[in-house]
Amino acid sequence: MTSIMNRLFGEYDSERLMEENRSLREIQFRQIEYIRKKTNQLLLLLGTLPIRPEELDDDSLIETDPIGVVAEAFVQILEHEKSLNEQLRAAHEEIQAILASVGIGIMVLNRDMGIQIHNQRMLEMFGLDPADLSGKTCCQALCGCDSFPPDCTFERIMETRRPVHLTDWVRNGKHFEVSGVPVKNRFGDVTQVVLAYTDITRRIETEQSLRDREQMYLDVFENAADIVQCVAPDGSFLFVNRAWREALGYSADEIGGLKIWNIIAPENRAQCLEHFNALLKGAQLPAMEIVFFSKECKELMVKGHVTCSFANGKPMASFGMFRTMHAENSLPSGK
Amino acid sequence: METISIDMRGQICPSTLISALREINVRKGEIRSGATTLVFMTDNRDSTVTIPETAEKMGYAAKVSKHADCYRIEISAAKT
Repeated sequence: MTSIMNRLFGEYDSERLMEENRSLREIQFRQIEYIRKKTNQLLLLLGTLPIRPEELDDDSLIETDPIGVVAEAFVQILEHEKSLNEQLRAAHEEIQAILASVGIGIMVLNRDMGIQIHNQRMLEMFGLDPADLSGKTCCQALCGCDSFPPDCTFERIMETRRPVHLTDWVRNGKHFEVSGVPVKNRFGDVTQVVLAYTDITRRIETEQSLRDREQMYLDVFENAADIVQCVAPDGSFLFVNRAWREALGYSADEIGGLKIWNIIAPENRAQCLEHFNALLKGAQLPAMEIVFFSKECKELMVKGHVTCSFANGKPMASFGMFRTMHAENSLPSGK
Repeated sequence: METISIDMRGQICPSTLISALREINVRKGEIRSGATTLVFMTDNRDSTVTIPETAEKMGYAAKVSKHADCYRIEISAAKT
């Protein structure tokens, strides 16, 4: 080969051409190595294996242009990511608007109990400043302690990995309904906890006030001289006062097993049942005279008014208040 | 809608991935518009992971199904 080249180009030119050829081969080798190296770096980013030389020889490598192919794929990946980011930003703004508009306090905690997100209502409910929540755990910010307080919703959710609902959680004299929901990853591990607080202080106070008032009325009726009874639509007694029990001779424990017709004299039952049914249908009855029938089989003539209360159109209870009209009459035994 | 099938049986990953990406790049407009669906037929199991994953990252929908003699990887427009 050398001798042929020497004859064709002369000895000097021949050596020069061979040197140039060696140099060009080295340059091409380095270029191909560079292409393989960069292609493999890009393939690694896509999560696949490097190209083996036996898969793609040097000529095919240049012809295929893998860097160009993968780079174009990356352009599309970045465009797609950009589009996803825009969608996420829009979704984030929607969530922020929802958080701001609801009347309940919402907080999102990470798995270490650190506060990640909270809405304005949360600050208002607990009288907090945004700086009070920054970098703090829920128990530091709300409960003022470094470890789980008793009845901690977050702790229960992390233990059970299920939603938790507290109907009355008290903090600084205020009452809250607390709903906590775990957010799980694809392996089922809890990664975040969403806590929602509803201030129910006013409702609790109203309920307590109603209970107090109910107790007051019960005390008044319990101690009234008149006979007072409250009867359910099925005829069972919801309430009778002391005068009622004394007049008819039943103890408080016996009231649960009684029905209204057990205390009506047999000859009055049909008429009373008619009145009772009319009341349940919404009729207004004038003052009525009834003969009650005591445990000791004594008749007791009473006069009074009976009304009926309704809820959502359905009868809830009849309320009767009576006064004894004259002395009891003993009935012949067996009547 | 046109379905273009590309038989890549005999190739292994990452050659299959590069071949698939080249086809997707060439027809990206048609695929995104919903006019074209690409179907790659491969007998290389790794490709049933790398090709759909990369295509989904690029914003396409990818579906893999197993057939008697090959896997079919279907690349189409992502549903919005």
